[in-house]
Amino acid sequence: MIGPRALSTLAVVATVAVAQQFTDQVPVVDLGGGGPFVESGEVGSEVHLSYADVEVTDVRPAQYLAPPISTDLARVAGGVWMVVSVRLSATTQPVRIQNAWLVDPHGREYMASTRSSCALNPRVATGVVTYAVFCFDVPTDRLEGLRFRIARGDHTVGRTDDDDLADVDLAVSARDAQTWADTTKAYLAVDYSLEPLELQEITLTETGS
Amino acid sequence: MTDREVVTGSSSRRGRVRDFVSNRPNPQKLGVLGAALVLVTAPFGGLQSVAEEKTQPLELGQRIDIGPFYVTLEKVTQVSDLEPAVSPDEEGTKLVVLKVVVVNHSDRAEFSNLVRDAIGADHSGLVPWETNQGIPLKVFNFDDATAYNEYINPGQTYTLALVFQQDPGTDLDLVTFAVHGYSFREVDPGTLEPNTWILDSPPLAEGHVPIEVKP
Repeated sequence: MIGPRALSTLAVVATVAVAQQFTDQVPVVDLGGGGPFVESGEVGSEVHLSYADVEVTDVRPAQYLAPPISTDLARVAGGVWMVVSVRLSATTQPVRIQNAWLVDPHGREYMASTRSSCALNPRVATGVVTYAVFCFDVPTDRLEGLRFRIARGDHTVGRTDDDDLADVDLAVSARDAQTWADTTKAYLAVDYSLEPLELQEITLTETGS
Repeated sequence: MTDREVVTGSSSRRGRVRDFVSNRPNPQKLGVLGAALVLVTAPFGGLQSVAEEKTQPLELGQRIDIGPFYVTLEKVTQVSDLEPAVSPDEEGTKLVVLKVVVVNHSDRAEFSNLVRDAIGADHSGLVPWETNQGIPLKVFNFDDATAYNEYINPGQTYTLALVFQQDPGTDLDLVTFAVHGYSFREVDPGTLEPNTWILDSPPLAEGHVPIEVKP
């Protein structure tokens, strides 16, 4: 015979199970975590986010990037430097862009380089265009189909969920990927500015060592 | 009729169990409790076997999977200077350079510090750097001699130079190196930070390797 205590225990377990089924089906409390709101675009067209407008204006490969101080050593890419020029303007209030990254057709993500001396997390003023250049060191066999992504939330710690994110197809074709992998170009690295930035191709000289 | 005969059947069973348990020595009780806990945690992996990580003898050219990266120690060299990358804080102090090839074999960009922090040494004659004394190894890109401290993107390969300062009187035959691995933690329960790598112990590989001496 089942005693009253056992019946009470069964009742509690049953109630919890039914409640679990209910909360699984109905989003009683939405705590977010639904992923970012992706706004897609192409090179040369503006992507409108809730907090900023973003336009990729140029993409080019490089083997070397030289820091602004001319006596510092140039940085050679492990693969290829993907140099992405971007126009940014905040829509309602100044915004700090936390990350820019590339993603390949397999979903693998490539973070912007710190040692390149290019832009990392530019501060963007409201209504004023900020010009930024982001640089990524990407393996030579993974250039085709890359997309550029940028957001104000820190992507490295999963803070881009439930917020706008710009996703721009860099239109790197198979032919581009083949020729870009062999590039020997060297540019002077730049980060960001309120003045338009022009990439300056340079000639490197060897040090005595 | 005895007292034992007048108690109900269920009470009698419960009493016998209670007597049986109370008569067990404490080590047996603890053992049974431990076994019960393992069974209770079975749905969460409590019965999964613990992988036995045996420390391998360290060798030059041996590719070691430390978690996000393959690390291959190619060469160890003692030099007096490593210009233009770095010089010792004081003249006479030696520099030991570990040339390692690093491959990010994962699908995510991972920070290069994971390589630096996976390397240990014993009887190394370590002389701390004047700046950042708690970090014995400075890291440079072998191909351009610049400091290297950033994300290594997936699929990317770098040759890095890990450099520490060494007392010139150190017996190089006694120096041993260790390479540790990492375990992936999806969410750190302390900080709630996602995707962290936790350094494992003991090391994956450890031992003495030849140290080439250059003036």
